[in-house]
Amino acid sequence: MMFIHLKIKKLISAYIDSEVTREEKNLVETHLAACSRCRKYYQKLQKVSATIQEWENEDVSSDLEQQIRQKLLSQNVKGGTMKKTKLFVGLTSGALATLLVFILAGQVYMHRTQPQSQPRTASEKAEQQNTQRGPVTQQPPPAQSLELGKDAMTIIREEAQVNFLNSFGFVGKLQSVGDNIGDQYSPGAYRLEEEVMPFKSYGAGTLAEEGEEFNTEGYNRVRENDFLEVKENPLSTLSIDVDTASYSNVRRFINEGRLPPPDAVRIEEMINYFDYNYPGPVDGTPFSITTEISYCPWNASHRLVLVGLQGERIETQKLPPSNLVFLVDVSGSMDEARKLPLVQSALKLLVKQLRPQDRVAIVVYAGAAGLVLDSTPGDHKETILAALEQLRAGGSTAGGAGIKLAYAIAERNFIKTGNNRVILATDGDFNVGASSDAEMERLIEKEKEKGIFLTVAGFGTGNYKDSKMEILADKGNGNYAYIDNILEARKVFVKQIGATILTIAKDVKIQIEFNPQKVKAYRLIGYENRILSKEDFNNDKKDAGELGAGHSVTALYEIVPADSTEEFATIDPLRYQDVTVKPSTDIMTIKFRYKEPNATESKLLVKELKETGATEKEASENLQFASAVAEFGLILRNSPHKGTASYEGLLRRARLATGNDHDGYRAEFIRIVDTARIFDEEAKN
Amino acid sequence: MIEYKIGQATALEELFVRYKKPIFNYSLRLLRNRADAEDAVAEAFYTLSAKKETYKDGYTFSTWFYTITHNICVDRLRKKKNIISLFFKCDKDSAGYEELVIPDPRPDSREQAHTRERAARIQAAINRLPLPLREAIILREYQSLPYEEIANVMNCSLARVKVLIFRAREKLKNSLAALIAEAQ
Repeated sequence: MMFIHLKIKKLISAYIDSEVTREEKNLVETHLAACSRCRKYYQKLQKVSATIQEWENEDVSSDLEQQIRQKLLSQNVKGGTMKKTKLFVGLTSGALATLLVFILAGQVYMHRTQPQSQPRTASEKAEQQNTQRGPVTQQPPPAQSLELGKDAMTIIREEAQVNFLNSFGFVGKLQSVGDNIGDQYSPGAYRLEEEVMPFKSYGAGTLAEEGEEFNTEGYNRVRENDFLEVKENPLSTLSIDVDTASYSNVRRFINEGRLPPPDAVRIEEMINYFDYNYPGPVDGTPFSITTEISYCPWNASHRLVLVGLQGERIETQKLPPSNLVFLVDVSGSMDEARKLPLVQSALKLLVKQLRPQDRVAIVVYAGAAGLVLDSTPGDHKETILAALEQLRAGGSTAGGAGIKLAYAIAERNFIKTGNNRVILATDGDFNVGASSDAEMERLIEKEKEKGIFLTVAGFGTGNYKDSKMEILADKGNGNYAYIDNILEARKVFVKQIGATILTIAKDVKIQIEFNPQKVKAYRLIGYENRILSKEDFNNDKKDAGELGAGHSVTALYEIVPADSTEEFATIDPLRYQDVTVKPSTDIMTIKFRYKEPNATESKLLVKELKETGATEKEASENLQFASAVAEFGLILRNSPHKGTASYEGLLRRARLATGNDHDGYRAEFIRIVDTARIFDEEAKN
Repeated sequence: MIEYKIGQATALEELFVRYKKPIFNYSLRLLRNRADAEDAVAEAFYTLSAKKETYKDGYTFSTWFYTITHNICVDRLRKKKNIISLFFKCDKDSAGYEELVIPDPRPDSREQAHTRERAARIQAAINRLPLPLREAIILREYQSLPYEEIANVMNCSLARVKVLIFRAREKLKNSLAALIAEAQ
């Protein structure tokens, strides 16, 4: 009898879901009619179903939605690369597997000469196999490789697992010291694990990772700002951006003999790479404001407005004490001349600037994270330099663990009145470990609240994840620089040490109100991912960009005068509202909001701008040079708004506007543009 | 999906609009953590877009897409188990741990507090189920998939799906007994 009830109970569950055959249905219904106990059971199960519906579905956050949309869009746009990837995968679903087997078999052979003792449990084995199925998993290799494949694969899988476990065996050791750092991070130690990684993702059926492997550098799509009609959009709100990485990256491309992909060109970062001759602040504010209206070089009927911020210049010696934690990526991918060795040289430059009151710790991350040098006073330079010298690359990347450890060290050595900062040096690929993007961003934001900021220094080529690094730096109130050579390292770590390291104003926002009597439409050049909604300006909870000591920030607006006959996309006139215009001769009102580094309430600055009628001859050197850089960006992006932009025009203006170019950055710019012009002409012929 | 495969970008947009919420909630309930679920959804859509060629016509699209998501989530759970537990001893007190909370921006009336408390208890009961039971019941109750599709997504037999759902309901019946009685 009990048996029948149990069988019926099972059927009842399926019956509720209408997943029973006709006979079963009859059986259940007859039984239910007769058995009150099972009837009760049936009602209870129904209630269970009804009750658990009270845990309601959640909405997808709009941030996430936007992020996915953008990435999908860029994935579609990158049709060319995608196709190649697909072709590759298609061609090789068999061949690649065979090849992989050979390579791995070789690795296993080599690896087997080392003693291995860690056993695997049956459940782990089962779990690994579990994930290898489902309709999206790759087809097994074709017959001829299957024979070899089967055995080799099993061995490899086991080896991989053993190795995996072994790498975790380090954990206890790693947390403590870097005394035997040489053998942990020597290239040999991690080799196999690294080779096995692609296999693991291949077998695990998470096919997204495959695309990543073939697809090298990651850039977020940049959608250029369009012209907006002032009547409908009188307010333009943005967060400042002091990042300069895009320029050094563009320069790297050109120096390597090719033009950068359009999405690698972020015009505001190019403009902000250069110093401008803005006066310093005088009235106790942390930065000065410079505005100028003049001609627009690439469109004779438009005008160009420059808004420049200059952060207070503080001499290195007057900086408050620093508590720095270098977080250095020593994963296998960093094992290139332009990566880890350059990181070491760059950080050495920084160490040489340190004073006794400063402190430095070094954390590395690869297959696992470890503390190489505990926080050490800045005058123990030998110790710090020796520790830097010891770093070796090898292993996969557990960025997540590294960041956590680095923050923990920074917090332990927190200097209340000082500058507490993690400096991350990496090629930007975080993939193993707890490195869920969202989780990482949250962590960085949380640490920022505690007063620990993040500077990201990007190195290297090939696997460079620009998009991720910029996001990390933004979340951590920090800045982000791309370092492609030792001169750039000097610029970032020595010359701009103040700016790179000391924040003087945070959450700096700009809001501009245009006067419809003077301006018909406007376009913000660059800053695409820094646009804020108009309500965010007065909302102190809304995060924005940081300004470092000595940093300057320049924003350019291209404006269309009110008397222009140009047509822009408009909406129908509103039926129930009539907006009256207050007479004024202003072009615009510019409002700034910023917070002192430790404040939570913002301060407001307001400035008006009137038309001066300035022509090309009266344009300042600042505007001439900034507009030349912008024009270069428009050409590289092949912008729909580039108008009559030309290499000749911008070169001519840049040459006239080199100012007192002590460090030769502007001269270098001219050389880069000249080189790019040659590539461009070659491409056209 | 077929429309999308032959290259209609708008079809992708439609798929996104239609599936973002179900896929997100499926991942959320499976992974028990918002950050991971967000990543999983993103990954699922990228995979969908990158792997559209491997989609076979005739296959139910939802099955295919849930399978992609299933693989991503299971992979994540496995990595988490291996890495976090070994690495950080990720228990309730450590930094990386995050309980899933149901956010509610509205001010709490008494009734709302009550509703939320019930939802949290249901959530806790489901979270305590072992993974296969949890996944089966989620796919059935929240995603409303037929048994056959569940079997495909979880790559097991139809009979096993029946047993899993039955056992999940049995367990929930016991753990939610008080809650159910309260409602009456």
